[in-house]
Amino acid sequence: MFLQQIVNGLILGGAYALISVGMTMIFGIMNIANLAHGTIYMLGGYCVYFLSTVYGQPFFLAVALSIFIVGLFGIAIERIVFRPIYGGPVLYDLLIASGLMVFLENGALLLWGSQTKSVRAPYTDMVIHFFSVSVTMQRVIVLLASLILIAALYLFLNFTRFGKAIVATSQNPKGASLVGIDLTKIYMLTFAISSGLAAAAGALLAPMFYVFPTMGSMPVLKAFVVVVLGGIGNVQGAVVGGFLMGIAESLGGAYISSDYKNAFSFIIFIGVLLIRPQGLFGKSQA
Amino acid sequence: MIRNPGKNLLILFFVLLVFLIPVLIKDPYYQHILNVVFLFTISVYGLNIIAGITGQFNIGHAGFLGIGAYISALATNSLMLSFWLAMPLAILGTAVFGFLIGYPSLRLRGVYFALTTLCFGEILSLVFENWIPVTGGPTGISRIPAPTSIRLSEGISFAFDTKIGFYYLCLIFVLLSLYINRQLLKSRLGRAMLAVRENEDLAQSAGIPITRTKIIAFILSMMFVGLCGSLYAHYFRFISPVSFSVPESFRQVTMLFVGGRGTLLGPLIGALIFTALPEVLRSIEDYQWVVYGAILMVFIVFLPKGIVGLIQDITETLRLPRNGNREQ
Repeated sequence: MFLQQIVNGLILGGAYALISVGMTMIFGIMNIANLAHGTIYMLGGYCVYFLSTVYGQPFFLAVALSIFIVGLFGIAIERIVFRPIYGGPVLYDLLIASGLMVFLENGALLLWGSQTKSVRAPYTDMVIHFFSVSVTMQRVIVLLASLILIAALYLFLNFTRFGKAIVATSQNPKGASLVGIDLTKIYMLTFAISSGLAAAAGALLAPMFYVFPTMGSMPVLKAFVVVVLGGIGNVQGAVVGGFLMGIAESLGGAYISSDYKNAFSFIIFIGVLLIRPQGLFGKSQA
Repeated sequence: MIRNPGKNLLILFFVLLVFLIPVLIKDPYYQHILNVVFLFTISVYGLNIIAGITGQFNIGHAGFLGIGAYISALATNSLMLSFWLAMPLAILGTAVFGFLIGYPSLRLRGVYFALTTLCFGEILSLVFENWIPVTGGPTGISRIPAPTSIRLSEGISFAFDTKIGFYYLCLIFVLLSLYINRQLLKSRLGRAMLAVRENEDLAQSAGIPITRTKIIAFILSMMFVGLCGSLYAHYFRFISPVSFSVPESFRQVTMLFVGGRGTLLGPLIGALIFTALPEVLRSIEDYQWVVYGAILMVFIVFLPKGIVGLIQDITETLRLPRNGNREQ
C-alpha cells in the first residue's frame, strides 16, 4: 500500500514537474506569474484528444504534435498578451494572466462544451506487477516521458547556445542584453518551451484523467506551490519540488483524507511561506 | 484643493436621488438588480482598500466573502442569533481569517500574498463543498432569515424583508463604505497605504512600517467583505459554494479594475457595470466569462486606471491649458 502510493506519487510528480519547470522559467526570466499556465496544460489535453481520438493519429505522434502546436500558441500569447506589459507595474502580470486564464478556460467551454472527453492510448490495459505494486503501462510511460523531457531540457539549458543564453538572461537580464543576447528572442523561446512542456503534461495525462475545460485550474495552483517550494526561477528546484508534491499528495490522499487531497499542497505552501519563503533550494532574499 | 459649493450641492443632489430611487423605480426586478449592485459595491470597496489603495492583490476575495456569509447564516440558523448579532460576528470572523492569512503572506513582497489568497480561496471552496454537516455541502444553506425589523417606538418600525427595505439598509452601508474609503484616503494611514503601493523601499525609508500597514489594510478590507457576506446571505436567504468560488473572485477584481482601482467612485461604477450588464444583455450569458477575461486584459493594457481614471485624465487635460493661459 505504502509503496504503491509512492509510485503513484512519482507518476503524478512527473507531470507536476513538467508544468512547474515551465512556470518557474517564465517566472524567473520575465518575472511573470503565469496563472494561465494551467490553461496551456488544458490545451495540451484537447490537442491530443482531437489528434488521436477525433482524427485517429497514433497516440505518441499526437503527443509530439500537441507539444509543437501548443508551443507555437505560447509564442503567440507572449507576443499578444504579455509583451505590452513588460516593465509595467508589479502584479499586472498576474492580473493579465488571470484575465487570459478566464478567457481561455471559458473559450474552451464555449467551443468544446463542458462534458469530459476521454483519450484512448495504446497501453492503458497493460498492467505491470513488481513487489506489491501494480501500475498500468500508460503510467510508466508518463513517468518515463516526463523524465526524458526533463533530461532534454537540462541538456538544452546547459549545453546549447540558446539554452545558455536563457540561463544567462535569468541570472542577469541587463548583462545578458549587453553581451548581445536578444531578449525578445529569449522571451519567445522561453514561452515556447514552457508551453510545450505544460502541453506535454496535459497530453500525457489525458488517457489517465479526462479532458475538460477546467482541468488546469488545480494543477496551476499546485505548480505555483512547487515553484515557490523550489525557489522562483530554479529549474532543478521545480523538478524536485514537483516530485515531492506528487508524493505528498498521494500519501496525504491515501492516509489522511481524500476529500481534502487538494488542500495539502496549499497547507504546504503556507508552511513554506512562514518558514522558508525563499524556497527549499533558493538563496536567501537578503 | 479649493472648496467648491457647487460640487457639494451636486453630491447632495445625487444622495437625494439615490434615496428616492425605490419610489421612482417600481419594478421589483430592477429593485433587485440595484440591491445586488449595492451588495457587490460594498465588497468591491473592501477589495479597493487592499488591492486599490495598498496595491496588494487579493485574488481569493470571494472565498472571504463566503466566510462572512457562512458565519452569518450559521449564526442565525444554528445558533438562533438575531441578524444584528450575526452581522458583527461575520465581520469579526472574516477579519480574524484575514489576519491569519495576511500575517504570513504580507511580510513578503511580490506575488506571495496574491498566490496565498488564491490558494486559500481554493481551500475555502473545498471546505464549503465538503464539510457537509456544517456548510451543507454543494446544496448550501437555505431558509436564512431576512434581517429582523427594527422598532423605534410604537408605530415606527423599519422592516428589511422587502426589496425596498433592504435597499435602504444596503444604501446606508454603501454610503458608509464610501465615507470610510474617503476618510482613509485623506488620513495618515491611507497615505501610508498609498506609499506602500507606489514604492515599498521608499515607504520604508520614510519610516512607514510596511508590513503593519499592509496587515491593517487587509483586516480593514476583510471587515467590509464580512459585512457584505452577511448582507448577501440574509438578502438571498440561500447560499451555496458556487457564489464564493475562484471565478467570482476574478469577477470582482475585474469590477475594481474597470471602475478604477484606488479611486472613490471606481468600485461603485465597476459593480454597477458588471451586475447590470449581464442582466441587460441576457443573450450573451454564455459568453459572459470570456468577455470578462477579455475586458480585464484590455483594461490592464490600455486603461490601467479604469473608467474613473480615464475621466480624471480627460478633465485634467481639458483644464490644464486654461490654467497655463492664466499664468501667462
